[in-house]
Amino acid sequence: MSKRQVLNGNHAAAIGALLARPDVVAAYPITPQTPLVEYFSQYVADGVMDSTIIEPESEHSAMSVLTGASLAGARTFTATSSQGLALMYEPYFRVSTMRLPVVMNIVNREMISPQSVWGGPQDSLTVRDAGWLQIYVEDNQEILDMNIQAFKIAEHKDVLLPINICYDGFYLSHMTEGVVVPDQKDVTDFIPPYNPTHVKLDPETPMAVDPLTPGDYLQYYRELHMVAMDNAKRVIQEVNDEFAAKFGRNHFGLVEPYKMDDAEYVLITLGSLTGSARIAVDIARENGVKVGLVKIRCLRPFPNEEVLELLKGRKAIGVVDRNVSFGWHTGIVYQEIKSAISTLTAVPTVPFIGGLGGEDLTTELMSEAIAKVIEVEQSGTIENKAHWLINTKGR
Amino acid sequence: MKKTDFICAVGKELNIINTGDWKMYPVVIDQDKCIKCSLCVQYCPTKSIKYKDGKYIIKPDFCKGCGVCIEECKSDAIHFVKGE
Amino acid sequence: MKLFEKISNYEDMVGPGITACSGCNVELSMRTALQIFGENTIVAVPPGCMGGVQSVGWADKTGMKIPVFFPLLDNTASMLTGIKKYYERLGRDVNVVAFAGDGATLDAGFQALSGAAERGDNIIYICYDNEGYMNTGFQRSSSTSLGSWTSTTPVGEDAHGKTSHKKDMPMIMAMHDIAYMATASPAYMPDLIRKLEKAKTIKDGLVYIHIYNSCTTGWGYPSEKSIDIVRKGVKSRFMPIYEVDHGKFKLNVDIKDPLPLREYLSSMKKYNHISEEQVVDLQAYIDEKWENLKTLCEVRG
Repeated sequence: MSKRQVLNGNHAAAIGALLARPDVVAAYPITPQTPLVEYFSQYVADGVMDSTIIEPESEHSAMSVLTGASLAGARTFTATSSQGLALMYEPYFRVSTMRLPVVMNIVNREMISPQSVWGGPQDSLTVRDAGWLQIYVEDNQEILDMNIQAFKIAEHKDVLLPINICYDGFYLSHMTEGVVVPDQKDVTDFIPPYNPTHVKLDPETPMAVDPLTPGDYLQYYRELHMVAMDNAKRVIQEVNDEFAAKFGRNHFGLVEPYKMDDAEYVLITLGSLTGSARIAVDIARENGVKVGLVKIRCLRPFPNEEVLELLKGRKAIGVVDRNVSFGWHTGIVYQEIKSAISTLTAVPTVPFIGGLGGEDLTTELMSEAIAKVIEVEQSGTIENKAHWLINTKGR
Repeated sequence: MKKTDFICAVGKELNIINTGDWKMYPVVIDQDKCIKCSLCVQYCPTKSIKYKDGKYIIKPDFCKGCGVCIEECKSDAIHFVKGE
Repeated sequence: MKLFEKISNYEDMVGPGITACSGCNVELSMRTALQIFGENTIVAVPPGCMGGVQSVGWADKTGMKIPVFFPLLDNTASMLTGIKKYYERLGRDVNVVAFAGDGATLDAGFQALSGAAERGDNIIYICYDNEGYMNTGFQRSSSTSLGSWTSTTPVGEDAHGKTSHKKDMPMIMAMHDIAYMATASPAYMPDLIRKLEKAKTIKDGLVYIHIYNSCTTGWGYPSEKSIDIVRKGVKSRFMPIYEVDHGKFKLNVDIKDPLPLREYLSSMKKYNHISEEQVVDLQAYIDEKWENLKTLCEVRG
């Protein structure tokens, strides 16, 4: 019987992973992920969770320990944030290129400098080309549900790639919401066991793993990795639909359209900031403006066909980035969108940046963004740099 | 274009390099002088010296001709065979 | 049948031809270790000499008959922890072994090894110490001895080789209170074999074996002297051979009348330029370490 609990994001993640029954877990604490590690350790200590937990001495070792365990054939799980993700970048790139289906939550946090502990997807977006699947969620129910789906997606024989479930630090990790927790038996039925044969360190089936490799083989393996990414688009949607059928909650798969049927103007979002954007869209609609919203859930692989289809025939588009892309003077998601709709050259697109370092992206700022998108379309002047959404309330 | 049956960098068949070609001269143990102290067996880096039928024999296939066995032999029983 | 007559017919787990330099005593150490550990073994060979000589493999071929892989230069011990912990979870007793150079052990991979030692992870970590990053042309490592020429501590008008002493890794590992720590030399084979056999039996923590190797190409001596040179290293007390079994210190090779240090230093090219001052400094280092060791063997024997 599924039950309803009041959980913060970290707790929801811990429970989601617990239900998937990983064999080996190795995580190093870092704000705002630390409570997730603590919940885990307590579950193991209480005998609720039968995973082997290892306490590594840094994130680099955490990912290295899991690389070893995954190569030996284990189902593996971990979590980290910003500086930790940066520190583990060396083994991180390797885990995807060795086709190891590790599941890692990234509790999104700003990258230092300046010193900051607050939430934002700069950390995971900066490493988007390291070959991992990346899904960005909006609320705690999604965190729990995606942690279950993650193992099924990653371990699928047509995918065999590691996956990040990304959720905003503090906005989700430390905020409590009502979350439905499914029954253990239903989850065990949903995720088949993991039995790798493509790469394994086992004296019963000896092989060399990752020998020195000449260029022609490397190119071939890279191409296969690209194909796996393409397959992942299909698998992510399939697993979403299977999950919806079994557990009754549909999270839309690759992208979520909101009030898009007759939308003339569109706001595009990623992560928890979608919440205030939805409200701003509703307000605009009440005032007769035909606005819609597209929430990008899956950033890697990038759902370019779905995005192109959704954005055809619109008057103007705004992308709200809670991150920066140095050198482009825009955010990162803006560029991904521009790439996807490059054939729609006539549509004005407006890059927005805001909410960095823990600053709020309020409903008012989202309304400001919508107004700016309309203004740009009507005046026809397009700037090539971001419009900053700055919170001036009480300052 | 398919290069291999593997989807990532692994290897199953043994890679063999003919290091026996490295040596300038073959190395041979004089069985009459050999006192079976086993030092040559202990110190051969390529494990080319085997104990067979009561004798110590050098297998030439992968012997690199490093000369360690010649240097360490207590009874001067091992030599390069030059001038062949 | 004598010990080595028996061992000579143990299966060699390494492919028969690897491109280690002619006479390399690291190749000797690696083949010997894996003969002793046998086929129920998974081995990690990080980037370095042994990795570079294709003992891991090439393209889609393997260099060994047992599972082998390349860890990253800095995470050998961590990867092995993950592997060992999973096999323990499955209830399978598999030898999980590292064969790593001094660069991967004392420098880049130090943190990972220290973490694994503190956690008591049951892996067998063997360090082959040839005092430098030899595979890439002899750059300095923290295990390079004082005064040694290396390509990153070269000799010129204003410089005379490495200015700091060799990091005492065996003692550092002993001070982590690991289950078993031992140093060994290819010139003392029965002792090395005994330590490898012992390593297999340890189940209650980390095993660290530090092999004092040498490098014919880097250090600059003829290949046939590969055993002779490390024997000189032991006899001059430069390479002390001892073991620490669950905190109990034992000196395995007691050198009562040490070989004069100059005889060891002059047998290779990397010390060609060495000054009287540097020799005095080295001798003081050796004497201090030897005295520390003797004291520990007495007090903690």
